[in-house]
Amino acid sequence: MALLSIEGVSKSFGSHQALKDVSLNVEAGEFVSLLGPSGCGKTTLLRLIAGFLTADRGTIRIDGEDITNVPAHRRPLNTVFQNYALFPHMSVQDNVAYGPRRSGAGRVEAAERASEALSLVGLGQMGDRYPRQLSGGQQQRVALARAIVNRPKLLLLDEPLSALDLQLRRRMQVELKQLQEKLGVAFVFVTHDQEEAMAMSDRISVLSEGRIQQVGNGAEIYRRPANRFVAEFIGEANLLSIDSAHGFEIVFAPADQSTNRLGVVRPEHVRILREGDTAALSENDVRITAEVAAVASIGGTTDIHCTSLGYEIVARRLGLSDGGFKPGDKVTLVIAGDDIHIIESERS
Amino acid sequence: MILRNLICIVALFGMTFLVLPLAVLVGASLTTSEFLAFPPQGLTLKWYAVIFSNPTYVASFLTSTWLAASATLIAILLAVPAALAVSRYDFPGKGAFSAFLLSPLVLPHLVLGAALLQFGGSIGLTRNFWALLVGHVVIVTPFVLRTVLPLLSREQQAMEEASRDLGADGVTTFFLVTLPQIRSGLVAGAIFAFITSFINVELSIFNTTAELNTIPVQLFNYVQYSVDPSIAAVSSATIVAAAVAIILIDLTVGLDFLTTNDD
Ligand SMILES: Nc1ncnc2c1ncn2[C@@H]1O[C@H](COP(=O)(O)OP(=O)(O)OP(=O)(O)O)[C@@H](O)[C@H]1O
Ligand SMILES: [Mg+2]
Repeated sequence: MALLSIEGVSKSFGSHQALKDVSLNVEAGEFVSLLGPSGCGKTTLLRLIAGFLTADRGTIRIDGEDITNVPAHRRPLNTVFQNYALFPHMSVQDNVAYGPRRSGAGRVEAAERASEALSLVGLGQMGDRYPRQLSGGQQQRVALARAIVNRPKLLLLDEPLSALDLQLRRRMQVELKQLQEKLGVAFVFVTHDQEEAMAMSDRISVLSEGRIQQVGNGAEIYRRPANRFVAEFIGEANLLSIDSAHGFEIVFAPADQSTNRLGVVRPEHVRILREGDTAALSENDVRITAEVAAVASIGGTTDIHCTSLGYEIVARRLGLSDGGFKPGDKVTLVIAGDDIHIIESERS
Repeated sequence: MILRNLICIVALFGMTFLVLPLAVLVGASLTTSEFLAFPPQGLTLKWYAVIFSNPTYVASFLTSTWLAASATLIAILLAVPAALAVSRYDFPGKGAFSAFLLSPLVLPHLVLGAALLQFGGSIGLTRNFWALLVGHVVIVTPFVLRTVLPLLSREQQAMEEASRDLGADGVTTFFLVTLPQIRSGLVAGAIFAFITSFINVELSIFNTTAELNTIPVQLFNYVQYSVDPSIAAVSSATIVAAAVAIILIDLTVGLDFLTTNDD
């Protein structure tokens, strides 16, 4: 039985439908990310799970128990809020002890548990300070300590790292993941940073316009996107209309001719050869003749933008070398047949 | 540097302008002459003896204090739930509701007083303490509402959610999280409310009688016929009482929030 099970949940604000028939299961100890563009309903879903909103339709269960109408303070889970929502009038120690106190622990026991939680997040010495005397990263840790002090089985986190600078963020990603594994607590983790989701999650749930588009681990979602939205949202993709496909014999249709299937090809799967260079071709390769339009080096990779059949196709090479390709060069693009992922094209 | 000095000078000038009348008042209350004089001619406390031995002054002083305190307390009990409702919930007519609650701030008190007298007359609520109290509650509630509302921000709401998330029910959350958060606004609003009620003439005048009078109305009536140092003594006593009250508030709940805004 899943730890958290969401079935057919919908939620509207006035005439705006923020969530449409959302279903999702989270297993005990699992790290699930909710990933999607701004306004897609991630926070809304999290608030429904936490009990700050009530669903218009559908049920939410924890350990098999229907909690759809249970008020927030009786739900067996905790939340790390986006801007931490620490109590400014309480010391760090009292902030963290708040949870144990409410669940019936005495002053002494609550203090002990708070200290323990604080040292778990590396803030053992900060108990006497007030939240405003801490840096953003430290406040983040207090929020985390406060949320785990009652040892919930399920922790909800709404973009907990978004206010931190890049370096600290990377470090916190690692720490957060370690803590999650150490405590064996399940995470539902909202983010709109796909690298973060990829790096941390067991599974990613991609949302768009209030619907779950796909649920799977990072590799699945990247390699086999369920639809055009996921293909374009996760990583970068060349999308080519498919005219016909028999096994690996795939023929692409020109860009202006829409067909009912699309081939998704990641830039790093496009090899680029000079025209006439047939040296390393295999049977399953699909070949496209093209012309180089632009060459751009970013970070450790070089993107070669080519035009063919009215598409702009990007081939990505590792390293800064552009391989001597110049705009105007005639080239052959080679894509291995099993690097072409075929989806139904619902748009166009 | 020059700018700073300039600001200092302007500030000092402003302070002087505000404080000087008070100094004049206190000074005039100490004069031995039978008329208001500043600087005082000789020093005496006899005018204080005059007013404190006059039972009508003492009675109206007590009435005013009691009235202002009750009105402020009721205003707090009304304004806090109203502020929570306005900031937390969407309901039909919300805009009209908050405009209605704040409207006594813009209505002339004389008009309000006349209207309340008319209405009070029709239900038999006139010329007694309760009639005064109703009017004062109406005019002071907006002050508390005004100072509390801005503190019930989106961030503050997130703290309440955090509290519920950690297992606190609504009542516990209110006392442990909401109340400490709006405390500064409540104190500021209560001070404004108390003072507004304490010095009010226009509204009170409709419902005061010879037996039931407030200090400002009493003074107002008195100065129409005679002006002697006893009115300066009454005013000075009020100022001293106000100063003591402010110091007490500062010592108990603290007034730092009025000058700093870092939390
Ligand atoms: N209380 C509310 N009243 C009305 N509309 C709301 C409310 N809360 C959210 N919405 C709307 O519902 C949609 C989903 O909002 P939500 O906050 O869940 O998005 P999100 O995925 O968390 O976005 P972001 O990444 O920007 O945080 C948005 O269009 C938003 O405007
Ligand atoms: Mg959000």
